[in-house]
Amino acid sequence: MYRKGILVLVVVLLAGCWDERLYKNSSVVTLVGVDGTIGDYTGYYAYPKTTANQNEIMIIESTGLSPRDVRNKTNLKIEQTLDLSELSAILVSNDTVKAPLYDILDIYFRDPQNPITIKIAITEGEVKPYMEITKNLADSAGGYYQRFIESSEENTIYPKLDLQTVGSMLFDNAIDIALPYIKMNEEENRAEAAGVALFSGQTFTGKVLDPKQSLIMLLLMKQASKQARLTYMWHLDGNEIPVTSEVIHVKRKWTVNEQLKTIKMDYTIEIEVDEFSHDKLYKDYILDDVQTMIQNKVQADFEEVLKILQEQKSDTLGIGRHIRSYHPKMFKEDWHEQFVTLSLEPKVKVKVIRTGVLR
Amino acid sequence: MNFSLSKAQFFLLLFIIETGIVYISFQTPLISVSRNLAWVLFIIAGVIHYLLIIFYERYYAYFYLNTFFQWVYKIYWFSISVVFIAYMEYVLASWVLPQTPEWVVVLMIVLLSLYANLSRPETVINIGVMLLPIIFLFIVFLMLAVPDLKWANLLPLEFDNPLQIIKGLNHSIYAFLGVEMYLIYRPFLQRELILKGKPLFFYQQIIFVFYMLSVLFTQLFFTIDEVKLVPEPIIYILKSQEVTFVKRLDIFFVYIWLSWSIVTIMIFGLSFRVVHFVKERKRPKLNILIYHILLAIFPLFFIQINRIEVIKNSLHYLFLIFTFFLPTVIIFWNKWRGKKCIEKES
Repeated sequence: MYRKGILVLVVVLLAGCWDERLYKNSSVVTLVGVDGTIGDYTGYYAYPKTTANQNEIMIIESTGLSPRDVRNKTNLKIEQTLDLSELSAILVSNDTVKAPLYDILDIYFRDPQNPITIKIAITEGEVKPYMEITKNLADSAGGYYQRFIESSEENTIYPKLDLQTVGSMLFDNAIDIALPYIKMNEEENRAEAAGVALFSGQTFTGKVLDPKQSLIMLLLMKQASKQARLTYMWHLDGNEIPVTSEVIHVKRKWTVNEQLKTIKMDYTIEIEVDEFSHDKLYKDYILDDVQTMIQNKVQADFEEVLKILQEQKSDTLGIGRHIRSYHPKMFKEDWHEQFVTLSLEPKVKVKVIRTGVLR
Repeated sequence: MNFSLSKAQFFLLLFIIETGIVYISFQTPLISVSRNLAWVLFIIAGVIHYLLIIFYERYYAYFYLNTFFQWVYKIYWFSISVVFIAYMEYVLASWVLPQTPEWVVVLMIVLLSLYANLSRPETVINIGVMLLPIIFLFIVFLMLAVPDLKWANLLPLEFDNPLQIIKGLNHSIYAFLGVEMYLIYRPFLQRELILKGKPLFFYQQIIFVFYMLSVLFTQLFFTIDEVKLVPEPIIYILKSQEVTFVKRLDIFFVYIWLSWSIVTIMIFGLSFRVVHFVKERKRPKLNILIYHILLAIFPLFFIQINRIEVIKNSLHYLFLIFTFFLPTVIIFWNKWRGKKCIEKES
């Protein structure tokens, strides 16, 4: 019995021999960039390399027919095989996503070694300069963009998404994705959050919501993150006073009228005043006036963003999912066409519930 | 064979054999076929399962297998073991060990089963105990996915397509593959023990909730069109979770599932032994060895996506025959003839 036990143990241990992968034999990629379209892709891979006791980020570029072909071609240029198991972020150019996004993502879902909890962002223009700026970083290139995106997620500029959630929404015709959009600040030579890229189905509509509109869209989605700040000008006796408020709670109620194809979207937003350089906020008439001003502005912003979403046939709010689940008779498979015809009627109520540590 | 089971051993044996291999994969065909109805149909399947084990409990004494039916069941269990081993190797090759030769993995599984089946029956019966904490751990890991669940995926519920409902029910009840083992092992339960009533109900509730969690998580995590692409949704859900202590949670679970499934293969081997050695046979160890040699060879012919798919698309029909049809026919035939199987002394 003892011998049999040894035999079984040896066989179990054998299984690891063929699939052993050592980091010392791999170029551990943390950031991938994709440019081009099917048949003519350009891929960029950023990986750290230690030379003469100094860490350096190498960027390697290749072209190929498909994302996997690009990776194979890249392997021909380096002394260690690419390993994407530590990947943190993917950057895709805005021209590339005018074709279906899943075309470039399939390899990440199909290969179990690729992580799918990573971030994805769309770049304004070619990806190359965004890759290049990571060269001088002490940290990993992918880690930089991961933190960059997460920071904007916390500021309610980008929706909280990873590759898996993006993939999941790409297969659902009743909701659309809005991906982080990054532009290059030429003067400072650094990346800058520029809002979100709106998708209709699997393709980029070409429309980008600026950071303020992105925040409004996220409030409509009831996805206010740790910080969601709104700044508006308050007019008093011919003077303009900036009022900044932080969203504390968002309550949402959608009422669907199937016959009239209208959706009444009631929102109650509770805020804390973060900045108010004029005093006397404790006086009811001032508080009411400020509250009404913010309410009207948010109402206008909601209407503007909803109009853009309908124009772009981009249901990022998931109205389609709501209709499909709770009003299935109203839902049609060509949801994007139906979405445009809906009458969306937002109604916002803003309540100031706190004023900071000052009155 | 002579051994006796306590209630805990009996239910553990049944739990492992019913959940062992199908747990990671039955959700995909179920949800693909029945769409949003999947969770409702699974509740109905749970009720059917409960009624079935009540039926088994009432009439198990009449489940006497003559030589012909002994061979029918032995061939069925052997075939199931073969396709399960092929599927286990396929999953391992897809998720963890793409470069490892297929025969090595198959041999590893079969050697473990051989080791257990050359030992006393108690080895196979008790080995499942070690799985309990890791199955609990698996549930804890699965809970990490709760924030990603979309509750709207449970609706709408439309009952206007009878074919969809029937197919969905068939795929739901398939989750309980191996439940006919109840009839095989029930006579070995210590005589004074009673299963009717609460014990049976609690066992059924535990296995039902365990399965229901997997159906709900799959349905709430994936969209219907997406789940069609994911043959092992539970592993995929775990792959989508990020934890600090392990890079890939899916690998961790694949190994949990592997050990769980190996014990299932061992129990299928034990069932073969129980039926095969009803009669005294010469060279029992050689018989067991031959069974395992065949078990190491046959799966190698099935480890291909198209063959795996054919098997997955047909097993639920076989299940109906061997779990519902044959036991009912055998039980009522023997009842009519007044022939009972011999209850073992405790």
